[in-house]
Amino acid sequence: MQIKTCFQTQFNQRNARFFSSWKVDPWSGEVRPSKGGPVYQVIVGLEIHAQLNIRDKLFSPAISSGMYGQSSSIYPFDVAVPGKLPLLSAEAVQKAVLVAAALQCDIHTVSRFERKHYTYADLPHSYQITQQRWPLAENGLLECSYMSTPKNKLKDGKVAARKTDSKQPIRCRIQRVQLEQDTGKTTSTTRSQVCTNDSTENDLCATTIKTIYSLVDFSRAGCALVEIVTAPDLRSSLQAASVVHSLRHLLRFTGTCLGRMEDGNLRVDCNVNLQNEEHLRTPRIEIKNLNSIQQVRDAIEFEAVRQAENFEKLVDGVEETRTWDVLKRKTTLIRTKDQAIDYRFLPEPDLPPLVLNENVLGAPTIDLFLLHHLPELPAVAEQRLRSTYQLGEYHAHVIARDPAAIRLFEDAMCFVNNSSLDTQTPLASKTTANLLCNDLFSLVKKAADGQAHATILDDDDEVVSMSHAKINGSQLGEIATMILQERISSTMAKKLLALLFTDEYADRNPSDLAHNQGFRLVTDQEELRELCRAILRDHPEEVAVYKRGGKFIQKMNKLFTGKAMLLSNGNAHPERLQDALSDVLDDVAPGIK
Amino acid sequence: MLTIQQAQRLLRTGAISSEQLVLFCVTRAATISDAWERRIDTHTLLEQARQSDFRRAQNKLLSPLDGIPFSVKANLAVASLPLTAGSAILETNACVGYHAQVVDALLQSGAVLMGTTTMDEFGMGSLGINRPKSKTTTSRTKNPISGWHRHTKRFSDEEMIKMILHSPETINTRLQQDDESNVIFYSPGGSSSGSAVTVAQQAALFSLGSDTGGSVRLPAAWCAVAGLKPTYGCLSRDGLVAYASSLDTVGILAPTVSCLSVVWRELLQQQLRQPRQDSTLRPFQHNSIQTYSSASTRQKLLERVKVAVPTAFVIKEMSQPVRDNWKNAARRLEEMGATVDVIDTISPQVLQQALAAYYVLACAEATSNLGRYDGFRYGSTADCDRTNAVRDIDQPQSKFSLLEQQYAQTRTRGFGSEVIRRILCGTSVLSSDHYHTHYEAAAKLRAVLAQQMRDVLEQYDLLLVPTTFNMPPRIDEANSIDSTAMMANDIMTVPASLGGFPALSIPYGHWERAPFAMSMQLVAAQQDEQKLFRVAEALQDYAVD
Repeated sequence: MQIKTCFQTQFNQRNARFFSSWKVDPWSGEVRPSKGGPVYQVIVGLEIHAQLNIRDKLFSPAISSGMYGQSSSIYPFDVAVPGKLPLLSAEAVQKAVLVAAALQCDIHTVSRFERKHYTYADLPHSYQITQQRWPLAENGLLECSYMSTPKNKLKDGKVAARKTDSKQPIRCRIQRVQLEQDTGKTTSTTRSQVCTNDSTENDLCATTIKTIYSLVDFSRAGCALVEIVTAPDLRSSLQAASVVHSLRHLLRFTGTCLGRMEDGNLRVDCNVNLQNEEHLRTPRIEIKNLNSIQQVRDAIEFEAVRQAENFEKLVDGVEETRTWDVLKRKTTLIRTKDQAIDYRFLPEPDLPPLVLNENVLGAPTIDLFLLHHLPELPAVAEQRLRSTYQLGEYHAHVIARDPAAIRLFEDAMCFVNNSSLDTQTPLASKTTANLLCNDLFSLVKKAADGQAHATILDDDDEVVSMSHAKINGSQLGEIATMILQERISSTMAKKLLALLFTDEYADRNPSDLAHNQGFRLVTDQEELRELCRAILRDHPEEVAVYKRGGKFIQKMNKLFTGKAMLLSNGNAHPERLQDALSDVLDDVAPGIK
Repeated sequence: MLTIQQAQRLLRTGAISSEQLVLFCVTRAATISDAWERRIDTHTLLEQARQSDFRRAQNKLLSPLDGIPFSVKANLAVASLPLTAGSAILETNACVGYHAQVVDALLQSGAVLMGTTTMDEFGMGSLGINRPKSKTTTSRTKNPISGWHRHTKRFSDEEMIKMILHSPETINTRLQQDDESNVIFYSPGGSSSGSAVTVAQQAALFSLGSDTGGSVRLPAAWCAVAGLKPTYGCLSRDGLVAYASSLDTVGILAPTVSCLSVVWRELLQQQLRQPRQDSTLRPFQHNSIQTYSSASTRQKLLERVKVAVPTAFVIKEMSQPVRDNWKNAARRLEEMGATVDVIDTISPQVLQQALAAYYVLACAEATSNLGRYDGFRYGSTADCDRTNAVRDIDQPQSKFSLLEQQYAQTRTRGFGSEVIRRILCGTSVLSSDHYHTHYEAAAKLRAVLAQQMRDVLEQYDLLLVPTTFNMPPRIDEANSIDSTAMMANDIMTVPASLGGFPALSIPYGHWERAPFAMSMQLVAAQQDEQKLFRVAEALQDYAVD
C-alpha cells in the first residue's frame, strides 16, 4: 500500500508530460521530440498581479488583506452598497509609482480609471475598477539573471547549463503597470445529501444529490493591486521563473508587496505559445492564477509539450484561457477566444483622472517623490558596491539584495577606512563582507527561525533582512578592523558577533568585549615558539612518538597544535602557530620524516 | 403657499411651534399617501419637533432650518429606512444604516425629515409612472393640479397661523374639493415625482430630489414649485443611488426661489464640516454662499445682468403659448434692467443630437451602475428552485450556470420594463461593436455641446429657456405614450445636465384653459448658483405680482 502511494506521488511529481515523446529544455525553451524532428521555440509573456501592502483598500478605508499581520475588514463600498462612492487611497498610488519606477517605466502624470464589466459572484459591483487605455506607467524594463534564482530551483537544468550561459542577463520589457481592485475570494464546497426514493423500498435506489455551495469572502474585495504586464520576451520556463523571482524580490525590496505567492499576494498569469523554425506561431494560451514559481515553470513546460504535440492542429486554432490543475499537474480549458467576455470598458465616472501631484504623492514632482522614497535598486547598488569597494560579484549580489545590509556594510566600511589601516581596499571589503554575509547572516537567520514574526521577508527564499541584525555598522567595522590588524582571528570574530547578538552584550564596544573575553591574537613568532617549547617540554612521551616519524609526524603535529592552542586560550594565530611549531620541532628533533 | 421664510417668521414670533408645524405637515402628508415611499412615524417626528422647540426656547438653534419639515427622494439613503430607489429589486425591510451626506447635513441642521418620496424606478422616467408592478395599480403619484393658482396664492401670516393651528379641518374641506372636481389624474412629472408633490401639497417645506437629465426640474415645473439642479459635483453624491454617475446631481425642490437658496446655503455650509466622501466633489467656493444685496428699484434690480436666449431651443414641437410665455419672460427681464440677447451660437443640430447622446451616455452608465443588483447582498432574490437547478447542471445542454440563472431570474423579476430597456440599451452601446460608433460619439457630442454652452456663458450670465414645452399628460394616457416620445420631453433640461451647469426652474405663466403653470428655466455657468437665485427670484416675484 505504501509503495503504491509512493509510486503515485512520484508519478504526480513528474507531470503528465513524463510520457510524452517531446522534451522541453527548461534553459533554452526549445521543444524537440526525442527521436529528432521539428524544433519549436517557447514564447512566454507574463501578467503579474501584486497586492500592495498598505493599510487601506484601494478605494475605501477598510483594512487591506495585503498588509502583513492585519485582519482585513469590509466597508460598504467594498460590497457595492448603493450610494457609496470610491475614494482613492493616496498610499496605493505612491506604492504603485514606486513599483513603476523600480521597473524603469515611463510614469504618466495623468492616468485614468475605467470600469471593466463582467458578472461573477466574487465581483460585487459587477465591474472591476482598473486602468485600461490610460495606465499609470508604460514601457519599462526588468533585467535579471538566472543567478538571482535560488540554486535549488535550477537543479534539473544542469545538463543544459553548458549550452546556455547562465550568467547571460535576461531582459524583459514591461509593457504597463496599472492600479486595479482585487475581487472577493470564492470557495466551493460540495455537500452530499442522500435522498431516498419513495417509490421503491430498495435502499440501493437511494440517490445522492450533490450540491455545490459556493461561498464568497469579500474581505479581499477592493484591495489594491498593481498589474504588471511584460512583453512576450521570455523564451523558456526558467527565464519566466527567474523574472517572477526577481520581480518578487524587487517588490519586497521597494516595500510594495509582501510577495507571498502561497497567500495569493502575488499571482501570475502566463501567456504561452510556440513558434516553429518558419516563425509560424500557435495562438496565445493564457494560463491563469499560478500561485508559486514552481507552478509557473511546470505550467509553461506542460503547455509547451501539449502545444508541440498538437502543433499542426493548434496553429489554425483560437486563443484559449486555461487554468493549472495542481493535483493532476496539467492545464485545463476555461474558455476559448470565441467565448471571450466583452468587458465593455467604461471610463469610471465616479473618479476624476488620477493626477500625480502634491496631494497624491506628498511631493511636488514624481522625481522628487522618488528621490525620497525609492530605495537604491539592487542592480544599481550591486554595481556601486563593486566599483566603490571592489567587492566580488557574489558578495555584492548578496549585500545589494537587502537595503539594511547595504547600510550596515557601508557603515562598517566607513569605520574600517577611518581606522587608517594600510590594507588594500579589496581585502578590507572582503573581510567585512565575509563577516556580514556568512557569520552575521547565519546569526540573523537563526534568530529569525526562532521568532517567526520578525521575518517578514522569509519563506522559501534565502532572503533574511539585516534590519533584524542587532549589530550596528561601527561594531561590525571595528571587528573587521581587528581582524585586519591581526588582533583577533576570524574564529574570535565569529564568537564576538555571537556575543554582541545576545541581549546581554548588545551595544558593547567590540574591542572592550574582546579584551574582557581575553581575545588577543598572538602573532609574535618568538612568543609562539616559546609556547610550543613549553608544550614539548610537558609532553616528552609524545615527542618520543613523534620521533618515530612516518604517520606519527602528522598525528603528533595535530596534538601539539591543539595543546598549544589550548595553552594560549585559543589566542594563537593558527597559521603562525604552525610555523612556530615546525621551527621548534626542527630544533628538538631535526630531520624526522 | 407656506414658504420657509414665512415659517421661520411664525416660529420666531412664537405664533406657532415647530411641533404644530410638523403636525400640520403630517396631516397634509396623510392626504397624499401616494407620494410617499416610506414615512417616518408621527411619534418620532413630533419628538424631533419638540426638541427643536426646546432648542428655540434655549436660543440654541442649530441653523435657520431648525424645526423645518422636509422630505427626500427614495434614492437618497436615510439610515432608519430601506433604500429602495423606487425599485422592486431593492424592496426590502432592512434599513440601509447610513445617511446620505446631504440628508445628514440637513438633520445636523435640525430640519425634520418626514419620509422618503416616490420616484420613477432608479430615476428613469419623466412621468412618475415607472414604478414597481405591485404599486402602480393601487396608487400612482398624482399631480396636485391647479398649481398656478396655488403658487400665486400667498396667505397672510394670520391666515397661515389659522391654517396651521386648525390643520385637520381645513385640509378635509380642501381635499374634498380636490377630489370632487378632479376625476382625471395628471402626471406630476418625474422622476422626483413624490418630492414635487409633497412640496406642492405643503406636506414638506422643501424636498431633496435627484436630477440626472431633468428629474428635479420637470416635476417642479409641472407641480408649480421651484426646482434647482446645482452644478455637477457641488453637492455630495454620497448616499445617492447611482443612475448615471457623470450626470447625477442632488437637487432641491421648494415653494420659492428664496426657499431654495436658504436650503442651498445650509447644505454647503454643513458640507464644509463633513469629510469628503465623493471624489467628484468640487472644492468649496466662498462666493457660492454669499448673499446679494437687493436693489432699491425694480428697474435697477438686474442691472448689468446679461441674459442669452438661444434660438436652438426653439424646436418645432413647441406650441405658440410656450413661445409667447418665453418672450414674455425675456421682456420682463429687460424691464428689470437686464440685457437680453437672442443668440444662435449653440447649434440646433448639436442640441438635437445631444438628446440622443444623453440617452446613450445615461444608459451606458446605468447598465454599469445597476449591474450590482443581483439579489445576493441586498434587496430581493428570486427563489431558484434548487432541485431544478441541480438537474439543469447535470444536463450538459443547459447554456447557463446556476449562478447565471439565478441572476437572470432575480433581475427580470426585480427590474421594471423601462429599466430593463435602458440596461439592454447601455449594454449594447458599450459592447466592443458599438463602443466607438455610439458611446464615444456621444461623449464627443457632449463635449461639443458643453463647449458651445460654456462659450455663451462666458459672454452672458444666464441662459433663459423653458423647462418644458408640454403640459402634464393624463396618467391613464401616459402608458400609451411611446417611450422614445417620452424621451423627447427632456430636450429642454438635458443640455444643462450634459454640461454640468446649474439650472433652476420656476413656475412662470400658465396654460390657458388648464390648471397648470408654465415654467421657465435659467442656466448659469458652473458654480454660479448665486446668480441663478438672484435673477430667478426677481423673475418669480414679477410673475406673481
